[in-house]
Amino acid sequence: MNLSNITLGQYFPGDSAVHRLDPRYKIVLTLLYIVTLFLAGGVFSYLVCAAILLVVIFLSRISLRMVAKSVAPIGVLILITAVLNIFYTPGENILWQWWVLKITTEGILSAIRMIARIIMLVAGSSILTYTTSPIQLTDAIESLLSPLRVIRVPVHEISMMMSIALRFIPTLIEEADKIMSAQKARGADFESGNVFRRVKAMIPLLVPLFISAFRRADELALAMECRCYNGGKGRTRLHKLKAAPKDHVIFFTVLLLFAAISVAGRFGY
Amino acid sequence: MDTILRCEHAAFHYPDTDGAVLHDLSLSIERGSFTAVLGHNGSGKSTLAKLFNAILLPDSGKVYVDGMDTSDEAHLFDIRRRIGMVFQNPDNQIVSSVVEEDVAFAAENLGVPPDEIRRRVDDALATVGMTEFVRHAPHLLSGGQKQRIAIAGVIAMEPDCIVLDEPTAMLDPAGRRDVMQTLHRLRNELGITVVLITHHMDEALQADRVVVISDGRIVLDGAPGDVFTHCDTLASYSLSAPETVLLLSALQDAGLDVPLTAMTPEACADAIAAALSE
Amino acid sequence: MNAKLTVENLCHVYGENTPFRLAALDDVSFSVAPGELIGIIGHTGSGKSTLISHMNGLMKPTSGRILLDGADIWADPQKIRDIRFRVGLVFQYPEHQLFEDTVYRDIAFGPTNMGLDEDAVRERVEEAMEFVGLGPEYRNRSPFELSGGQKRRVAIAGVIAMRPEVLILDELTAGLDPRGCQELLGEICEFRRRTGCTVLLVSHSMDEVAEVADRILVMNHGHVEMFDAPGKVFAEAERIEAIGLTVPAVTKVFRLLADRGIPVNPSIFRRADALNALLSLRKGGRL
Repeated sequence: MNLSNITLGQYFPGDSAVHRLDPRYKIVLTLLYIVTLFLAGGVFSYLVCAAILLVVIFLSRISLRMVAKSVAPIGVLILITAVLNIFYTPGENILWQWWVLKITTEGILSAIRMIARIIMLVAGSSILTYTTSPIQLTDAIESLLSPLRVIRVPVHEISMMMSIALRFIPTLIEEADKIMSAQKARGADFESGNVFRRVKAMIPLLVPLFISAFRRADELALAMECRCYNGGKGRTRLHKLKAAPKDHVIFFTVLLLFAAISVAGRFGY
Repeated sequence: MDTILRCEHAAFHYPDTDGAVLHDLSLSIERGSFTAVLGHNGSGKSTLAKLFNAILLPDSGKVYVDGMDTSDEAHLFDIRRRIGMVFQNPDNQIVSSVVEEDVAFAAENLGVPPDEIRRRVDDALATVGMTEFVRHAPHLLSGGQKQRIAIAGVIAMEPDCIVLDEPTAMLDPAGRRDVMQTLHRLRNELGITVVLITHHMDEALQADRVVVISDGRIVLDGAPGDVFTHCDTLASYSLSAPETVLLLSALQDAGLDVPLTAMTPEACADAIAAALSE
Repeated sequence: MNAKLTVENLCHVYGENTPFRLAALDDVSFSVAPGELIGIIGHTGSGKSTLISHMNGLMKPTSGRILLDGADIWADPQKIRDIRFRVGLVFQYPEHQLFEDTVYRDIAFGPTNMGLDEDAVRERVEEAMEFVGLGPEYRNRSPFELSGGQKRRVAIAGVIAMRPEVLILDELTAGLDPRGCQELLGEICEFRRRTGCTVLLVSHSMDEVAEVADRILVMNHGHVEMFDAPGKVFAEAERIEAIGLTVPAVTKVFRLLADRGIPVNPSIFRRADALNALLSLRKGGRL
């Protein structure tokens, strides 16, 4: 087990058109894309959704292999969805039957639709994280949620927590790796035994990791205080999010496209 | 003397503990100076650092920053802006996952306009020699580089003074050397007052003044050439004089006429050569 | 004499077949005699951490072998855990690995994993506590309320309690003050004297290992740069400085003295030796 292989919200720095788009629009468009996927109905609307995805991947200059990698971990989920859809979709056109199990044309079509949806959904979201730095993401979320401040949602605090969490994930992974090695050197066994034994074997890893995380939190809070942190009030930013006219044009064009697909999808195209 | 930091009879103890950490401690730091505060672990030197920017307040006595009383809440942010702090563990003082964002953090908190933050970040990174890392992820940097990023984040506040609490304790020799060079540059080029808390003799040797603290009291205070000649006194406070001084002192005991103030290897060799040729 | 530990043509490559391929260890070979105290020196990234992680089987060589008492530690991969009990590895800042609620139970973790019975575990824990200078009054205290130096002692005792034949310590004194460094180093030397354990002391400070090491292994860019007695290593001060390391202050002074034409051995590194050399020179001059 090597913890340093874990990659969370991986970001590939770049300067493509997709990278440069205002992150707020990127988040909103990704969400709308997901909605569109579920409103899509016929072959035509699915093909357009796939085409949009391919165009965006091409524009972002992220390799198709990296996108495929993001889909791989949910392979099992895709398989289960496919099986459930194949066997449980009611249909007339029976192709194969055994005991209570039967496969219908409708079932196969529905399974294909679901698989296409899930793959495009995951690939689309991964394009968002691949092309948007964690900082931009949290800033965009803070900005998008800012209307909620009216109802006293601590928007700044939430985004600060998210960005600190992102900052410390690699540090804590590295630390977990070190503690694990140290305990292995004392004969700890993380890899054998039943579930109960394995959970128990994690204690020598988890206790020091938590203690360290608390210590880090304490020290970080102190360092932030020393650097005059006083919440979001009166705070300025080095990089203020500012959508350019081009961003608006892209956003509204894509928005209309999604709306058209959804309407076409409702009519069965 | 133009004083930037002043402790007057400061005493301190942590709540729920017996025994004071600092006893009736009085100390003035001159503006533009480079002072090393030396002491063994648990001597109270880190607590003293925290008094300097109002993280802690003395139980009795006063601490003044540029004439402002640290116990006066109205001055809190003004004090923290003027007295930058750098801590031991570089990992635990980096807030952001991008170098430039981290360096900008303090300036952002102070409400500095974005253009001005940009200028300060670029200047600060140039001062610590980390310009090429502006868009890097801090967790991939070495300890010494991280510590220089932390220093840059403090200079971006444009402080008058920077207090460093054992900034090199977790670094390798190359990292230590880079951090020390950076501190000299801050003092010499930007005129920032440096207070370096350490237990490395060779670092203290580079300061203009060395203050030795033991059990919450100042026990020695003076120029390095003066303080480090007190080999036995230092040993009694769990510290040790530089190896060169120990050698010279042993030679003196054996009747050789050498000065204890020849602390660099060059001066030491010269002194020994001179004494031998007599 | 048969070697205790032998490293044969050890290579370790990170990210083989990727653009990030990095040879952390490149054909490293050396051997250590039983009971020797070896200082392993190198700057960050020289490969010394990767090297020691191979010695107790935490990492597997890309190629090459590690022999303990002449036997390949990977001869039977199923038994690699036994190797970890025989080659004790104390990491940098070992106090960060403490997890039990009492000092006793934390130190007992290793011996218990060895499958020893309660009496044997107790005997080893008590012995280990004594070696690191922790009195019986510490037994039931929580390790988390101890001072930094004491926490580190608990962690070291946790490895010593396995009675390893080889003890490897990575940056033993990092972050301790001068007195703390000296005390801990003294305890390790005493432990070695009493048990005959082979000790490998990894450090980036020459000063720390010069005093105590029988031989010094200098690592640079993943290979062995030098491996010799301290005096011989310091005799090549230029070479050491060229790879970014420093020689002890006494050696620096003596090299300068030699440059000034004074007939002294420029590789002297101990203060006592330096004093004798200079005093004999003075007597010689007066005669």
